Amino acid sequence: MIKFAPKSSQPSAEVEPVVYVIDDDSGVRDSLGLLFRSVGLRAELFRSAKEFTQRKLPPVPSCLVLDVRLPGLSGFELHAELTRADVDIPIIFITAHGDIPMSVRAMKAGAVDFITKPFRDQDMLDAVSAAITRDRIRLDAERARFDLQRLFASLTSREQEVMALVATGLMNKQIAAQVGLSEITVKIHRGHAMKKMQARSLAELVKMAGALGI
Amino acid sequence: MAAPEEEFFVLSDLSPGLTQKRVALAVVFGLLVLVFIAAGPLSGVQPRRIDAFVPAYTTAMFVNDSITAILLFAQFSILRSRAILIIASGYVFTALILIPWILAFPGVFVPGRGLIGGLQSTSWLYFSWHAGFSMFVIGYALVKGADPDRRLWRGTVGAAIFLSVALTTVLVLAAAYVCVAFEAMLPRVVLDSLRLSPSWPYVGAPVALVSIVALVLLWIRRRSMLDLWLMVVMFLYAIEIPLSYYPTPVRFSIDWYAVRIIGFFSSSLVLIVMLYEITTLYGRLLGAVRGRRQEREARMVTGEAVAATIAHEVKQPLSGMITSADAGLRFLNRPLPDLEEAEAAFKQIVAGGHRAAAVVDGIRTIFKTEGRKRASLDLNDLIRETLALMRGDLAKHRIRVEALMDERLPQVVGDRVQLQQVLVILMTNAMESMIAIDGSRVLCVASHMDDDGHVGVSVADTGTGIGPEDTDRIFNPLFTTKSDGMGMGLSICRSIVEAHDGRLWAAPNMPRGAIFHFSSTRSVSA
Repeated sequence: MIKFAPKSSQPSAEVEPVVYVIDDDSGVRDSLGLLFRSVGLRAELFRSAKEFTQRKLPPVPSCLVLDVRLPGLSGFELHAELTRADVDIPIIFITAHGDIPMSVRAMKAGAVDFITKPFRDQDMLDAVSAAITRDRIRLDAERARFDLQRLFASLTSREQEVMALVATGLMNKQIAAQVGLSEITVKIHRGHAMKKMQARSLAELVKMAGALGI
Repeated sequence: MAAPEEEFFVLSDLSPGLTQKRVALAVVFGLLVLVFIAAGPLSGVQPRRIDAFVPAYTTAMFVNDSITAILLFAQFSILRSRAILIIASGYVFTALILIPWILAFPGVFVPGRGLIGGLQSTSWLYFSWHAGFSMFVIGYALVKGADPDRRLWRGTVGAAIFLSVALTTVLVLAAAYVCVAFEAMLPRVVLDSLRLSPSWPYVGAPVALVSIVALVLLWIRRRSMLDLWLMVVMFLYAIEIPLSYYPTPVRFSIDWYAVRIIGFFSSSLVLIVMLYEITTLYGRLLGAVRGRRQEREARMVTGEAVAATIAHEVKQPLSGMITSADAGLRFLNRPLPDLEEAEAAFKQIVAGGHRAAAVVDGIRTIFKTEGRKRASLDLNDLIRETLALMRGDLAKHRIRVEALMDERLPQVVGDRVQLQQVLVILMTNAMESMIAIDGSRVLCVASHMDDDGHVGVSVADTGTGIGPEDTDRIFNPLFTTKSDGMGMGLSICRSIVEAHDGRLWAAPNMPRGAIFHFSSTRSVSA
């Protein structure tokens, strides 16, 4: 029997965030690299959307500073492609050609910010910091859900069944009658489920069941 | 001489289209049918004598003829053609002679007889009217074919019109005087207030002959729409006379009414056609004005796009410089300043400054038009010059150059530097697209002249070509397929070519690559 050893997931707060910069203009690209470095942010620079899509993204809080006009795949097109591929990375659009319709289009498509060049360094840093915070929250939530799923998978099918019935608010006796077990056995299953799910109280177990959607 | 485009806009100089000719024929046939019905199956019918018919008919004719005369005088004031002046006077004549005619018509103002003159006066005035107008038409036909020096009126327009109206009035008065005062001495053409005498045709036939002469003259010299419709009028005049006498030589008979209707038609024809033409020309004018406005707006849009492109290109290095400076300051403001990083930031700023200067220089080259004038130039020379300019780059990338010059090419009027800019951009694009791939590299620059006399130049390469999805976009400002492209080269090219009244378009080259064509409509023969 293979013993399931849950790999303790690293809380994202301890991971160094990354800012991805995609701009075909070397001046803008390099200066953004300098700016992020000056505040101790790790930045990765790309000259085209294609270069970026070839990079495998690590699960760390990150955001994308994306030029609208790019050779080949444009900024908007890359955004659409990322959305299609279910890559949920916050995007800050930058452009030297900004007008209202363009920014409206970007925000509607789900960009976190739209900044026109030239910009104030503080504006850019604020936008990046807000985007990274947002991504961190998203990553944490995703990770928590992932952990829960893994714990739930470690339960036996009987324990899962009992946990689901507990979550609906039934008493042990009722559960016993429903699944055709003795009340004492149900109690044992419930105890195992709580222990394996690392739930400190019955209320927490019910909340977990809610988060798992069972 | 009036300007050719002005002439084009007036009836008297517009040549009739096929539709016009068909309508004219239809009118003639329609009225002929009316004549045959009136003279044939209906000739036995005796309609009621309507006394009010004559004044109503005369009034309508008078108004029609006067308006036609005014419109023709208006045309004369634009064209200053003596022929138009004559035909306008003809319409004044028909309008004025109606006055003595109705005054002399028996039973209109006084029962049983005319207010002026005797029994014969009405018919003699009718003959004067028909013969007179036909004479004016003959005059028109003769003068319009005269040599150019005599065709145009040199004096003032007002004086000419006044003189014509005055002379015509005198003519009408003279005719009326003869028909009224010497009524007793004139041959008897009517028996009583209703019946025509057997001698009526002896006077009628020569009058009809005058109309036929006018018709023939117009036929020989026919050219314009006005000629066409005057021919119809003369034809109707010619059939009016026999119809007045045959089959029933009696006033208020069915064919007498038919004659009046035909007369009314012939008097309205030129007026209707002129009004129709004026409306059509007005519509055409409106269309032209609208077209010009759209063209101007399109140009403004292009201007806006170019301005936006420039703003974009300048902001790009500025943005880099500002951000680098910000970053440099942050490195310096650290508790322990990071001088190495700050230096890197300063280097970035310097590089950015140089790039900004280069962008500004590039824009100036493209738009430097001040103080420069368009001159006639030889496109073949320009192509050779440009190829020489780029020889170094072309050789470096092992690109074979083919120049197929049409040596019969006429000179074109244009801005030498701008047109060279177009060639440089097109050749640079061609070169860059060929560098991107392996295989034979051939740049073919050709000049040619098409059948319409337009001068064209094509730049063909064997490079990557244009993807079908990009065909519509390549001329848009900001569109580029190059990693360091400005996205304004082709949009600038198109602006320049369009400013030279030309067109710029792209097509795929076989077996691969792209061809860019541009043509200029503005050429001068060498």
